[in-house]
Amino acid sequence: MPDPMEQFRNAFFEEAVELTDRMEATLLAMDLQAVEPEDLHTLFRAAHSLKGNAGTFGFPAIASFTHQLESFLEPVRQGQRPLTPGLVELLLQAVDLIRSHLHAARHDESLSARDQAAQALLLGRLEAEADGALELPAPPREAVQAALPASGAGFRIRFEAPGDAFRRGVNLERLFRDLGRLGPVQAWPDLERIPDLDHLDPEDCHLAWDLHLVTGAPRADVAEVFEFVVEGDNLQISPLTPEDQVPPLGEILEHDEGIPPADVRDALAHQKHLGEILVETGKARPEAVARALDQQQKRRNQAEAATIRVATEKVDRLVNLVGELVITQAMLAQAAQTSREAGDERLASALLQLDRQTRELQERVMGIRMVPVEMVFSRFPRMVHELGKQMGKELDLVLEGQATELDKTFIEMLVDPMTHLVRNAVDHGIETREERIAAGKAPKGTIALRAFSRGGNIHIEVKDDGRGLDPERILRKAVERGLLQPGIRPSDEELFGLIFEPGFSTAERISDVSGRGVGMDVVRQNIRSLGGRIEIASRLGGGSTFSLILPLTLAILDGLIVRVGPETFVFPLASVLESFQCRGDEIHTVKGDREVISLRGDFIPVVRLQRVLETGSAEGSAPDGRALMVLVESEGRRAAMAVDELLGQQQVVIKSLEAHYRRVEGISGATILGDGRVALILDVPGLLRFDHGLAPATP
Amino acid sequence: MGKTILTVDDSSTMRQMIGFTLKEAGFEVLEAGDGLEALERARGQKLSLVITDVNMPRMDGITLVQRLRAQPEFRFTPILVLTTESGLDMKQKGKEAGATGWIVKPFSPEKLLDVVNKVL
Repeated sequence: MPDPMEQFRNAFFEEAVELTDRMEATLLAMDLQAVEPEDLHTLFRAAHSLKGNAGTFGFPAIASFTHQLESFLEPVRQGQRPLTPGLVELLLQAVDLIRSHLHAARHDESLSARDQAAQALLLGRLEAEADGALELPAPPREAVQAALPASGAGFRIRFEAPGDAFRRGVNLERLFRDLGRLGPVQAWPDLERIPDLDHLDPEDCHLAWDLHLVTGAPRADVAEVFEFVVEGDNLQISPLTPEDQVPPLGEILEHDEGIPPADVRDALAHQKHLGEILVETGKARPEAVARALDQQQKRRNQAEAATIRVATEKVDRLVNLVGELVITQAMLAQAAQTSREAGDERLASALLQLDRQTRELQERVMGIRMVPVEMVFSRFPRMVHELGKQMGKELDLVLEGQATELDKTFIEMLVDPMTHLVRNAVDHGIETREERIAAGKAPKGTIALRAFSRGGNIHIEVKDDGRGLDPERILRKAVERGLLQPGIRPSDEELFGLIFEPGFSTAERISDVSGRGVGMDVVRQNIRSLGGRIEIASRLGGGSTFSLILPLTLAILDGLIVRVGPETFVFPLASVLESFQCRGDEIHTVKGDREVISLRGDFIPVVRLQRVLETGSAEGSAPDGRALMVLVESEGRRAAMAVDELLGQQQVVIKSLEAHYRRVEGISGATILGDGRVALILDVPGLLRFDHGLAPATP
Repeated sequence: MGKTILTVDDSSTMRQMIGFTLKEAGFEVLEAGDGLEALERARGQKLSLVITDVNMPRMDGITLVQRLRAQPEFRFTPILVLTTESGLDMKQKGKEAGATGWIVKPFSPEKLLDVVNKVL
């Protein structure tokens, strides 16, 4: 059983590395001519999360640095300060510094003097930018470098040559020559990737190197050396840390003391094992050592036998293949039904069996990816404890359903949103001891995390018995922020949904933990990207429950297939309440062009999918104005979607569109139907935003 | 003996600019106006480097790269493609065809020599 504290630290570092990488990737991919607001949000959020996590897990130096970055990014995010190339450069340096911070923290060290100097300089320059000194004359790199001691700067490089390097006429020696021009290089070849002679194609390149380059040149110069041989992630460049440059003892002996290298290698080979030393010094009997070694080997074998580690990529490929198989099976079933052999019993029963086996295969393969939700939950006891202490609140944390299994992808992506929800619960939800006593509640607050599966979905709840959400306060704020027209009073559920809008925050003050209005929009975005949704139940004074409702898996969904105009679309069945037919005169027009339909006493907005999706008109629209409606619901909003035909229900395999197309509003993916046709999967929350008095969540 | 570079471009201005720069730097330069002519010029030559445009009449640069790579004597010869787009697409296409690297147009004589020195 690993030390829990160690587990949290590892989780923190893992996530921190991911956030830093995300900042860097966003900065590098930004087009300064047309900055996407979402990119700015992403940058800000990353800094915000880093700050929060570092604070929680006890890394004040990182928390303070990222806090300053966050404060600096705030006006940029608000569009009050433009993002200049100089600024991007500074922010990239900040990313490098965060990495140095993380490296130091991981080794329980404080930041090196060199990096501290660089940080001070960087913050100074950022402040200068903030004060309106737009373009400082000195290029930032040189400024930082000048303040540094001459030695010590440089990069640690890992380079794996692409397999086709030789066939493309790449001369690898040139890389070293060009690197050498930037500064002294040390290279360690990695020969592990070279296959044995039987499998070696001499024209394939299997070479890789680990390099240390001592240089004052910027990272871009180093990357440029590798310009023609970068492919995917075969090149990693990170700042050289001081301990990287401490040579092993053997090397110093060779260089400074003139000991022959062969003697050093020989001596290394003769280094004694722990057991031998103990035996020779009489501290242990040889039999004891032999037994211990035997025991160690046994345990090692057991550990290896109980589980196999498999690359996620292999599992993913399997999942994909099974997805294809499900489609083929559906095609086959459909073809058999319509063919002449439909009456053939043997065929029918074989198909039935195939159907069952395919389904079981699918479940088993999906099962490989499933891990218990405990992996997320286990980080919260400590976090809640620390947060409670920090805020002077007494708290109990209850965990339920830890054995519930979830897709591994979900586990990774749940960490962020759950962290935000739990922090919010502690910070805003739970009242102080005095307030609780005054309200007649138990003096100690309770936060409960529950996981369970229900109706083909996984539910994860974050529940507190605190003060609850105040709809009136949210309403005021929403009007203030321009999210709602004055005079409109949506339902409480709809109001609760507003707290997920970017930039919406009901906290009056900015605390160390939460309350900058990021967080809740991250929560919603993360959950949506998993194909899930969030529901809020809250009673003023009685606490709040945030329910994250996730599909069992990412790859497959139950769909309602419909025809709109000449095209076929898929509704995720999870968001469909019912479908019904209505007469033309049941649809009323309000406010000029908005249509509503009265359904059991409620007025529900009508969305004409033909119009919204621009499918062109159908050839077979009902002449008498009769319409077919699919009633959908998401995040407490409902709408009736007018379609032309219901084609049936089917499990569909989700294919992402974004790899091939840009994001299309209202569409979340595509699938291949049983008959081989391609159909687009509708994004119900997106469609509802389209046709609602609310500003779209993402511009 | 100097190193020989074959430059292929349908624009004579471009050929002149590249030729002049390379000759100044001490290289022997051969020229061709399109891919087919380049294949003819290359025959029997010992080339240190080929620099080719992409869009050319009769045979484009990508096809030229593939045809050169198919010949044993040019299998490992460095080849640079001249692309107007800085986009990944043409670089990727060039790589797939077997090109060593690329030079993004417009470029200065210094930049040209920089890249040539990188692969030679």
